[in-house]
Amino acid sequence: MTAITGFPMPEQQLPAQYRAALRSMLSELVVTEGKAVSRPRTRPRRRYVLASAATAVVVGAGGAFAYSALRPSRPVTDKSNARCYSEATYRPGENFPGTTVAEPDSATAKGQVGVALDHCAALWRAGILQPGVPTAIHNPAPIQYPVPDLVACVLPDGRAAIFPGLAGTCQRLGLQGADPATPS
Amino acid sequence: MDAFGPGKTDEELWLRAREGDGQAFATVFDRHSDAVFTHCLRRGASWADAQDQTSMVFLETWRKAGTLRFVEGSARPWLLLVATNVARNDARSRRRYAQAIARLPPAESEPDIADEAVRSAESREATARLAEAISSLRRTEQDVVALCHLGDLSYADAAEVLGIPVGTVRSRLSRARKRLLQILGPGQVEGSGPDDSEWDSVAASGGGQP
Repeated sequence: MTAITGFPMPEQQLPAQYRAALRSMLSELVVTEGKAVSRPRTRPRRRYVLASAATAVVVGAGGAFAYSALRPSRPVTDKSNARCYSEATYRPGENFPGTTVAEPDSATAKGQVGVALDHCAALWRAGILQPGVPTAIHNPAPIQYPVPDLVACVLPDGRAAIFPGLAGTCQRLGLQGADPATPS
Repeated sequence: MDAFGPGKTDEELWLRAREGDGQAFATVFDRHSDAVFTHCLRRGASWADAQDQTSMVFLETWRKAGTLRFVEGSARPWLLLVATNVARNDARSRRRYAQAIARLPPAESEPDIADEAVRSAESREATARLAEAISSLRRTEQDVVALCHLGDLSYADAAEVLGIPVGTVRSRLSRARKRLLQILGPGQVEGSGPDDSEWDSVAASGGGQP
């Protein structure tokens, strides 16, 4: 073992904001490409993935109760606002990486989760949400930012939460996917 | 910070990552990103370039996920080897990963926490001088110098990740030391071990000047 004593450069730390963004981007890449490796790419990739559509199952009448308890998706019941997450992590509580969208009759208008997806996508496109940055960015550069794949989940309190990720993200986070059209 | 705990090796996490487990990959990243970043700085990259190079190291490692070679379950030797290659082929790597890098916030041009060793112009100059001297070595010699001296790997670990015998690591280091002695002068490269082929210090701080 050799050691460089007196070497002028001790171990340094990657700057925090850069680290968070890189970490998030790599995680998303792995989720996307790792999944792709394990399944054939026969279908075109979709911008938005509604978890419930991707995990639809056929359940007989006798299994209806079990299905309702265990199904991977459920409706959004609290339509007062929706959360747009900047990274695919979830911890219970008020603090989360991202921002809340709450506009009357828009965030989850008419129970359409797609509207919340559109709102969050708009925030990504404008650079207000960026990978791994924990809060909304108020003065992003005036360019069009890339929009990651987004997936709609339902928080335990019934609100919609839009994460960067693909089908399977909600389950991985311990959440249920959002039904694409929630009855009013 | 380590979501999987120290009980899981990088190799185990890597298998999970290849199945699409982003958290597993993030844990490997958490364990080694600072070491990779420091390695890039020691190779002479600026503070901002070292951030980009760190990104490229992990992107490149993922792109060639099937080739990753672990040393006793650790990915660090391999990551440092990839970092050495990325530093050597910075322009090519930037072209390859331009789109991904564009998604990241602009790399900071200065340390956010002032560090005397980083701020010192003398220290920076010494690092740059050593990095330039290392760059003039043969590629095979650069690799062993970068791994053993900049990356603090043992000869055995360097040998394993490079896929060469330990004796070859020693002989390459010996040749590299002689070359660096010629370039930097005896005040900057000191051999003080029982075996002249080993270094115990590279007094690259500038204070070792005769």
